[in-house]
Amino acid sequence: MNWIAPGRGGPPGSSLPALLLPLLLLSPQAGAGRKAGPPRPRRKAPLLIRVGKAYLGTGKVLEPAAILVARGKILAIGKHLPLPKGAKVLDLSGLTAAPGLVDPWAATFLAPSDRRTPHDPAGPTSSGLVRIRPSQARDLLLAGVTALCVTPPGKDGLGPRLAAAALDPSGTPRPILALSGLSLRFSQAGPKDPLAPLRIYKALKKAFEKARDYKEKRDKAQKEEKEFQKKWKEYLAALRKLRPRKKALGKKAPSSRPKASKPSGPKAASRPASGPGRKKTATRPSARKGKVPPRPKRPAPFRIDPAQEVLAAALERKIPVRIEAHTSLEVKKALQLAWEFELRAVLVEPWEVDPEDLDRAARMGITVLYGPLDRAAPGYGEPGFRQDILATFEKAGVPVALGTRGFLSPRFLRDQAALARAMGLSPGGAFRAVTLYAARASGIEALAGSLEKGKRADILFFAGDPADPALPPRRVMLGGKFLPKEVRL
Amino acid sequence: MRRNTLFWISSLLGALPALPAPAQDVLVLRAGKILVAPGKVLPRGTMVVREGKVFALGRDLATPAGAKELDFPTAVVVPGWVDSWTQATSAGETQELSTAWTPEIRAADALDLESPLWERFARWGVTSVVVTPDPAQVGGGLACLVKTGRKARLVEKALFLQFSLTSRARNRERPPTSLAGQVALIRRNFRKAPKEGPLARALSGKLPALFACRTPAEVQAALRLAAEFHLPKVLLEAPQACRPLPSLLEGSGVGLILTPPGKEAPPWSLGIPAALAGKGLPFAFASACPSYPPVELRLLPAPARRRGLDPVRALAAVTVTPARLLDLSWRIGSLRLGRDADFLVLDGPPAHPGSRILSVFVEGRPVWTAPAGAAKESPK
Repeated sequence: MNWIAPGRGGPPGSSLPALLLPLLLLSPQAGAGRKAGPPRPRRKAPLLIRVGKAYLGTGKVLEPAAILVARGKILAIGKHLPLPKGAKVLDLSGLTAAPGLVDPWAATFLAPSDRRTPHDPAGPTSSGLVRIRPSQARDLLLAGVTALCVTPPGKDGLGPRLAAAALDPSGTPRPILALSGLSLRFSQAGPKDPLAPLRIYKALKKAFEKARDYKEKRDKAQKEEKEFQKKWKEYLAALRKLRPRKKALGKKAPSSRPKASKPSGPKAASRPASGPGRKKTATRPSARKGKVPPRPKRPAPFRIDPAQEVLAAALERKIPVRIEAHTSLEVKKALQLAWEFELRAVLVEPWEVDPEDLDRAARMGITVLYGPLDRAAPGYGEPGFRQDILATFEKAGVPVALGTRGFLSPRFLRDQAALARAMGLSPGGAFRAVTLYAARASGIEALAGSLEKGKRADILFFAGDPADPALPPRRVMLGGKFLPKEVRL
Repeated sequence: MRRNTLFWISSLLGALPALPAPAQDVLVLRAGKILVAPGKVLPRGTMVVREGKVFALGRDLATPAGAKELDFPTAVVVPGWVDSWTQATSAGETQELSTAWTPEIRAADALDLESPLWERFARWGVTSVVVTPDPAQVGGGLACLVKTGRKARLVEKALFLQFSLTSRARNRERPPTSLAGQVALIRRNFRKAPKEGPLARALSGKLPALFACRTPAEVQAALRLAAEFHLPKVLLEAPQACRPLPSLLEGSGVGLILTPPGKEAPPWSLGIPAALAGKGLPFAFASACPSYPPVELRLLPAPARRRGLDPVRALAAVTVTPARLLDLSWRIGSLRLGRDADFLVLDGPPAHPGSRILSVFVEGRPVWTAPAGAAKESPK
C-alpha cells in the first residue's frame, strides 16, 4: 500500500484506505486491548524531565538538564527550568538524555524488490513506504531509531523523491513529511564511461532549467489568480452596494447574477468564467451606467505537474537535493549544479574530492552522506580508497551524516557511528552523523535530530555514554510518550 | 683469587648464547594500560619485545641500551585480534567442482600474500587470519594461518581439516545433492580412511576437524558424526542466525566459530553469543571474509554486548578463545611471556568499537600506523 506518493500509480480506490489507515492508527480507539467507550481526554499537562546530563545533538552538553515536554514536542530545555503550573515532574537524574537517532538512508519499509532496483517508473514522483513489518520497526525503536528517511534507489539522472517517517509507539512508521527531499544520481558507470558525469550534468541542468521555467509560469499563474480573487471581491462588493437600491425599487435580482460566495476550491477553479458551458450574463443597466466595474476575467487555469513540483520545491530550497557522486569529477559536476541552481545539496558517498572542491562544499553549506562504512563503498579498502575521507570533510567544516542504505538494519546505526569515529571522525561529529546531520540530510532538521525547542520529543535515555553502541537505551520517549518499561531493550 | 677469576670467565662464556639479541631487535613499549589477556590488565605497564616475542612484562622495566622505545602514556595495548574463519584471497581458488571429496587440498597453496587485503586486516587490528578452503567440497581440505600486514606471512599450513555440510557443497552436477548424501559421503570416507594423511590425523585427534554448517539440521548432523566417530577435537562454524545453537551444543564439548548473522539478521540472532556464554560454551567471532570485509570482526562484539554479552567474553571471542580453539594459545591470542608480540595500541576502551587504533604490531614490527592528523596521541 502506498501511503504518501500521490503520483505513484495504484489501483483506483486504493487511495481511500491509504488515507484512512494513518487516521485509524492515530485514533484513540486504535490501541490494542482498549475497551470501547468514550475517547479518553488527551493529556495536556506538560512533563518536566530532569536528567543528569543531556547531549543536545548540536554540540552542546548540559549537566544537569531539564526538558519540558508537552503535546509531543519539546517546549523548553535548559539546565534549570521553572516548573510550569500543572506540570508533572519525572526524575531521571541517573540517566543521560540524547536525541533519537535518524537513519537518513533507509530502505527498511520498501518492498524487497524495490530496495535494489529502481522504481518503475523512477522519477521525482516515485516514493513510498510500501511494505511494513511492525516487528522489525519495533526492534528499530528499541535500538533508538525514531525517524527514517525512506530512500528508494534511483537510476542515473533524476531519481525518486524521499519521504521521512517517524515511528509511533507501536512500532509502525508514520509519514511526517511526504516530500522531504529529491534524489539525483551521477554515474555508477564511472570507469566504463568517463564522460558520463558530464552527460548527466547536462541532462540534469536541462531538467532544472525546465523546472525553473515551470516555476516561473506557476508563480505568474498564482499571482494572476491572486489578483483575480482580489478583483472578484471588489466586483462582488460593488454588486452588493447596488442590491439595496434595487430592493428599494422593488426589482428582483437577475438569476444569472453571481452569488456572493468565494470562488475557491478545485470546482470553482475549473469552472469556466465564460464560454459555451456558461450562460452569458446580460449587461446590467447599472453597468451600462458605469457604476459597477466590469466583470473580471478569470485567468486560464494552470496545470500542476507533480514531477515539476518536486523540482520546484528543490529550487525554492524547501527540500534538500541528494546527489550521488563518487569520483572527483562527479563531485565537481554535482557542486556546479548545486551552485548554479542554489540547491540545498547533500553529496552522497563522495569517495574522492579535490581540495578546492572541499572548500567550495564547506562554503556552500553542503552536507555529505555515507552508507554503511564497512559494506557500501565501491573499492573500499583498495589502494586508492581514502579511509580518512570522513575526517577530511569534517576538518574542512562539511557535516558528515551516516545511513544504512538498506545494506544493514537501521538498528546498527550506532555501530556505524562508532566505526566512523574509529575511522577518524570526532566523537561529537560521529554522534551528530546519526542525529542532527542525518536529519539535515533527510530534510527534517526542523522536526527531529536534536533536543531543541519546538522539535519532536524523541528522546533516548542512557545509563552511560550514548556513543557506546554496546549500551542499549534504558528508556525511549517517542513523540512525548515513553515506550512501556516492561519491553526488553 | 685465580680460581675466582677463572670461574667468572667461564660463567661469562657459558652465558654468551643467552645474551640479549642485538639491540635493534629489542622494543620497549610503555603504555597507560597493557591488556595481557581479556580481564588481565597491567596498569602503567612496560612490555619488552625481543625477536618478535614478548620477553618481559612489568611496571618499571629498564630499557636496554640501544633498544627502541615507544611510550603511549594514555593508550591501551591489546593482544592482536584473530579472525578464525575466512577465505581471504583464496576464495574460488580452492573450489574443486569435479569432486566433493578433497581432504588433501590446502588453502595455503592458493594464497595471495601480496594482496592489499592483508594490510586492511592489519588496519582494523586483526593480526592473525585463518584461511580455510572454500566450503564448496564436503571433504574440504586444510586451513592455514597468516600473519597480516603489508608483508603477510604464512605461519601454519595445517590448522584443521574442514568438512562442509552446507548447501554450497551440494552440486547438481555431481553427488552428493542432499545433506544425507553429504553425511553418507563423510561416513564412507571416515570408515576407509588411510592410516596416514590429514584424515587419519583428524580421526586420531592430532588435527581438529571443523564442520561448516548453516542450518540447525546441519549442526545436528555434524554433532552426530562427531559422536559416531569419537572425534576428539571438533570445531563448528555456524552463522549467528542459527537459533538453537546454545541448546544443541550444550555439553557437546564442541568449539564454535560464529560468522556474521547476515544483512537480514533477525533481532534474536544478536542474543546468541550471550546465550552461549551463559551456558559456558566457548565461541569465537569470525568475519567470513570475503563475504564480509575485514572490519566486520570489529563490529560483531558490540551488538552482542547490547544483548548482554560480558565485555571480557566479547574481547576473548576475538583473542584468547580462537587461539585456544585452534590449539595456538602458545603463540597468539594473548601477550603472556613467550607469545608472539602481536598487539594493537588503542586510544580508548578495547571493547568499544569507536576506540581509534593508533598502531598495529605483528611480531614486534609496526604494520599499520594511524595518519599523523588522526592520531590523538603519537609515540614520544
